Amino acid sequence: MSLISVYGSFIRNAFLKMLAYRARYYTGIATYLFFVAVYYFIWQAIFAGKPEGYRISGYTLPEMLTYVSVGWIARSFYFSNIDDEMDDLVRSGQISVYLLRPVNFQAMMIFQAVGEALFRITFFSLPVGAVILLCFPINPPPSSADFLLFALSTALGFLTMASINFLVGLLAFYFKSVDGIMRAKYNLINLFSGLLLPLSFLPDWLRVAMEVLPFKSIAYVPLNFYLGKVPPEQIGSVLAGEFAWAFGLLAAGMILWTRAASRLTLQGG
Amino acid sequence: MIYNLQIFGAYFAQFLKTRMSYRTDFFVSLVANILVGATGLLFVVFLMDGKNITELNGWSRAEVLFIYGYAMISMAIFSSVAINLYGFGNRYIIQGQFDRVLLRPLNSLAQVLFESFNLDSIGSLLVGLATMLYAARILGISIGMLDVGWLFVSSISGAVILISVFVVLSSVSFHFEDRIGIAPPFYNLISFGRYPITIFNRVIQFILSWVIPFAFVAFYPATHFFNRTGFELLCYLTPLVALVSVVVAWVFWQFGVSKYESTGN
Repeated sequence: MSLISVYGSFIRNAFLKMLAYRARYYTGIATYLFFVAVYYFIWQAIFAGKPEGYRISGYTLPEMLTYVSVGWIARSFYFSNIDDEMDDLVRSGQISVYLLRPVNFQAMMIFQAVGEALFRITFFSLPVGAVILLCFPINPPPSSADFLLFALSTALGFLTMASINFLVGLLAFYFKSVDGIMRAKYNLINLFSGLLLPLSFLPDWLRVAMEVLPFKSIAYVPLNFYLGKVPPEQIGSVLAGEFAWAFGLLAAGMILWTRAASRLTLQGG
Repeated sequence: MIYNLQIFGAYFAQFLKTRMSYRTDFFVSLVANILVGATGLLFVVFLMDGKNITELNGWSRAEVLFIYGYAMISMAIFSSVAINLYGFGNRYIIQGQFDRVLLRPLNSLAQVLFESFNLDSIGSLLVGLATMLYAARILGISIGMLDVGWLFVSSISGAVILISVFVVLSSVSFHFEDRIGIAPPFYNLISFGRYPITIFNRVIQFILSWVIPFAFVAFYPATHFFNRTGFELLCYLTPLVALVSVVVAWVFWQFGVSKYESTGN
C-alpha cells in the first residue's frame, strides 16, 4: 500500500507540473496539426491518379490517411521525455538527491512518465484528436475489439518507448552532451516505429530486421490493430512479442542503471 | 563593420575552443546529425522506391530528392546559428541573460545569433549536398559555374529566410513571458518546404509563398535546375524575399527590444 502511495505521488506531481504550462498546449496542438498535414498531402500526392481502392504495400488511401492521423494522435499520448530529464538531472547534479532516496530510480522515472501520459490523454490527445478529426478524414476501426487491441498495444508501445528513453538517458552518464543522440533517436524511432510510413514500405532486408526489433510496438503494430489488419490467429503472438520486448528492455535498463550510477562523477561540490 | 566582423570572429574562435575540448562528444554529435539527416531522407527513399511509386503528383523521384537535398543545405546553414533562438524566451528573457547582451556595445540580434554555433549541422549539409548531386546525375543536370553561384546565393537566402522567420517568432518572447514560446510548431512547418509545393492545397501554397515563405527555402530556387516552366519569376525572387524577410525580422526585433523589461532579482 505504501509503495503504491509513494509511486502514486510521482504520478500526481507530474500531473500538476503539466497543468502549469498552458501555452504548450496551443502550440502543441498546432505542432501535431502540421505533422499530420504534411503527411496527409504527401500521401494524397502518392495516390494521385490511382484508381479508388488501389493498394500500395497493402494500404488503400483512406487506410493510409487514417493510419497517419491516428498514428500522430497516439503519439501525443505515448511519447515521454525520460531521456531529456535524466540528462538534466546528471547535468545539474540533482541526480545525487535521487540516488539518496529509497526508491527505484527507473520505476520513479517511468511512473512519472505514466502520470504525464495519463494527463495528456485527457487534456492533450483528446483536443489534438478533435482538431485532427475536424481537418482530416479518419475512419473508425472495423470493430470495438480492434480498438481495444489498439489501446492495449499502444499501452505496450508506451512502455517500450519509455524503456528505450531510459536507456538513452543512461548515456548522459557517459557523454558530455546527448542532445545530438536524442535528436537522432527521435528521428530513427519516428521512421522505424512505422509512424511515418508502414514498415511494409521498407526494402525486404530492413523490413525483416524491423519485424524482429522492438520499435514496431510503438506505432506499426498498434495502428495495424486499429485498421483490423492483424489476422486473428496472430493476435496472441504479436501481443506476446510486444510484452516480451517491453519487459526485456525494462530489465536491461535496470541492469545498466546500476552500472551507470556506479561510475557517476558529479561536477563541483 | 570590420571591427564587428573581428569580434564575431573571436566569438566563433571561442566557441570552437570549447566545442573541441570534448572531441569524442563532437564526433558523436556529428554522427548523430548525419543520422538525423539520413532518416528524413530515408522516408522519401522508402516512400518512392522507384518501382511501385515513381512520382509525387507529377514530380519524379529524382526531382523530389533534389528539392529535399536542397532544403537540407539551407536548413543546415540555418540550424548552425538558429540554435540560439531555440529556447530564446527561456534563456534570454526568463533567466535574464538578455541584460548581459544589452550591456555590450554591439548589435543585440547579432550577439544572440552568433553566441554559439551548431557545428554538427555540417553533417546534414553534406548529406544534403550528396543527395542533390546524386539526383542531379539521374536528372542529367549539368552544373556550371553560374549554377554553383546560384546554389550558393539561394541556399544562403533560404537560410536567411528561415532565420528571419524565427527571429520574428522569438521576438514575441519580449512581449509574453513563456518558457517555450510560440516557435515550436513552426519548426514542423519547415518540413513543408522540403517538398514540391504543388502537392499542397492552394491556401497552404499561398501561405508558404507569401506569409511564411518556406517555399523559397528550397522549392522555388531548386526549379532553376529543372527543365520546367512556370516558376521562373518566383525562383529568381528568392534573394529579394530573403531581403524583405530580414527587414521585417529587424523591425520586429527592434520593437521587441524596446519593450524589454528585465526580470530583475
